[in-house]
Amino acid sequence: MYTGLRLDSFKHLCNTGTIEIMPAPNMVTLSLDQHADALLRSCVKVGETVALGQIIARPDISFSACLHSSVSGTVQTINANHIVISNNHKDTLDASLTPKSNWQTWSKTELIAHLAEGGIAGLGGAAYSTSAKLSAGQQQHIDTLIINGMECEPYITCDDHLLREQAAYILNGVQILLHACGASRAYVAIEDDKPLAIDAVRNALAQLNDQRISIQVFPTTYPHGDEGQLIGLLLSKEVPRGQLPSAIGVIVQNVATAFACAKWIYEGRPLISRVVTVTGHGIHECKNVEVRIGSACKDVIAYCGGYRGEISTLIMGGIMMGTALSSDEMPITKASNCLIAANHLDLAPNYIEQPCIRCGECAHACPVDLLPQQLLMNLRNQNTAAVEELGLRDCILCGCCDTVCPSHIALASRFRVAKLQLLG
Amino acid sequence: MVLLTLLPAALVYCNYFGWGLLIQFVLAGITGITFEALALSLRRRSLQPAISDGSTFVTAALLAFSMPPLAPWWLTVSATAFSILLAKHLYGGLGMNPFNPAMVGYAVLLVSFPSAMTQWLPASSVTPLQINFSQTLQCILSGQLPSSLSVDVLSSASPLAALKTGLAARHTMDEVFASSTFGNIAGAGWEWVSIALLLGGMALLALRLIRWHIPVAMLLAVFFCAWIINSIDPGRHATAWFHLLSGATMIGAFYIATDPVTAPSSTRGRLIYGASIGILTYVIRSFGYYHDGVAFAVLTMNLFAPLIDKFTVPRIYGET
Ligand code: SF4
Ligand code: SF4
Repeated sequence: MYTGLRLDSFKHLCNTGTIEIMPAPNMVTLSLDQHADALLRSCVKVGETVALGQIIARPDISFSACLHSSVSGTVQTINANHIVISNNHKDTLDASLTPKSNWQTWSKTELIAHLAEGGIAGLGGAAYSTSAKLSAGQQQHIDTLIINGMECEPYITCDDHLLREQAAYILNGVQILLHACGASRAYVAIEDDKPLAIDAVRNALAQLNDQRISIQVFPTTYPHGDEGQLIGLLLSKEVPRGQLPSAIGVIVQNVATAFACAKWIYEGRPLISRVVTVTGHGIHECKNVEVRIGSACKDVIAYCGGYRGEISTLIMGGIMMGTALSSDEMPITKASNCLIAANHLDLAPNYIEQPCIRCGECAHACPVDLLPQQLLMNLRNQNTAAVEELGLRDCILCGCCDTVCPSHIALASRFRVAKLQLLG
Repeated sequence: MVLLTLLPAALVYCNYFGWGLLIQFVLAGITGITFEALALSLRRRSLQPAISDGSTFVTAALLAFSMPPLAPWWLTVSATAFSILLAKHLYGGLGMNPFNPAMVGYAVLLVSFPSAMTQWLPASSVTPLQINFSQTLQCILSGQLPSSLSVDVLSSASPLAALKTGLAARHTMDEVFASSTFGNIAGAGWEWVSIALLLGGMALLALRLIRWHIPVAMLLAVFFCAWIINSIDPGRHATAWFHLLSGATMIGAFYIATDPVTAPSSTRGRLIYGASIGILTYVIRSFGYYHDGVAFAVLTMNLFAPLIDKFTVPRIYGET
């Protein structure tokens, strides 16, 4: 069994206080490439007045999530990549949005379609439409729903905080998801470095008294928050190569996604905001903030007191799997779980890469049992067939190989580029 | 780090065989770093990282342990030159070499100068004659023994060689072992060097500089081969413990075979590789022409490392 890496935790930077709600910015930029499963197409016009929560873009395929305006105001520009809306600060809610307390009488398909209308997508970092996952699972018999609260990335604490504050509501979301996928049991999986969240879930479970849902606590190791890894840990099963977890009767959803489901069904509030962990040694006040989707990163950073001194990089996502942003003008998307204003205290020193000595440490650390050094060699030789053969497609880009490489070779970032270039 | 773990073994070695080891190490180190720099500048690569990675000094240390302590200077210098230039840089430098550099250097010289490469010293515990630092130095630099010492007293075969010649002369194990070259289990002095190397190997494992698969597989293989053959014909074959504590078994298992560059990289591959080296070492020692087989066993298996890697690709997550 793969045991995972024990990484230094930086969660303490952002581990106290409550989730703060950031006021809506003057302008939001909503990316049309929000969801991992489908591109969106705008369904509003420039100059049009839109309400808060109004659908502004739809996917081309069914059962993929819609995109909603996260402010009320006027559409300023639309292009192939995004829609920009100026905020009139009235927060006029779309009148068609209503709570649906009778969802238990709905069929699976109706519920799944409704979740797509609410823009629900995986908030753990991939933003894959929840309804797309669920509808793919309709062909199979789903028996297990896993609610992923592992949050194994060393800096991110947004799911932890959401669990502490909203455990009961999250469990309501779990019930909705259970209905939508037809599973008979749900596990809420949490790493043991989040005692407050664990307590909150235990209390909420006692109150709810739903026998189908239970909590599972795991040791804190990286990257056990990865879908495939978590399934292995929890059920001792593996997802067959190239398939979705639903192939073995499992659906995995993030805790924040369950929360968004509950908000949508019980309050009629679509996915227009999310909790972002704003952290790193290069920020004045590290905190978890509920941010409207489409806010610019720089607005969020300003809300957190601005940068502290010089920062080296602004990272979107975790320190292990996130990407360096080219500018802080970039908008928050549904996938943005974390912003790290990183300086030298956060980043490993800029080592010069040494030649690979074939020590095999990377292969040892790889959670999916790839041979990173052979992948690298074949990438350098542009041997695409061998790269495929060696399982580049299966690489989860976790960065474990980089972490252990004694020659400081940046393997995962090369794999990320190669995955995009070679495999599309 | 690796060099530090060799320190106990080096001390024991010097205690039994004099200063030769240190002088050889200095010689090999200086030659190694010179040729490394030369090769790098010819290849227009930056010198600093490659020189500070320490791999050259590890190669030098392994050579120093392999060379006879009184080997003349040109022997060591050319062994190092072969290691660095031929085995390492001709193939593209650190990480690209298919063969273990130190073993290439050693093997080339062993084949070319078999007698010079097997002139060993008797352990200090069994000879009344002590050779001091300056005599050793003089001897290495001039290639001749100081006049005050006679060739017969100072040159002796290593225990493995003595065993081989003894057995070839149809002596029985007991007769061979009666000679003063041998100690309690293996060669006098040699057994303690091996034990110190074992300690160093343990340190390497504890420091996570190597993984256990290759050394354990290799030592077990040597042990079992020797044990089986010894049980069949105890009169003509040495014991398993003798083989474990003789020659280059220990240094081979922990310091030579574990060179990651030239070994397979998967866990299963490393077990196969280590065990094969162990078996080959034993076979060469017992049935081959040379009295120690570690160098040739390692080089042979280096050749097979890519093949082993190919056949031991681990099962990818989710693969059926
Ligand atoms: S960990 Fe680094 S040096 Fe070791 S085999 Fe992998 S890539 Fe090569
Ligand atoms: S980034 Fe890819 S190759 Fe590297 S450890 Fe993770 S899964 Fe394995």
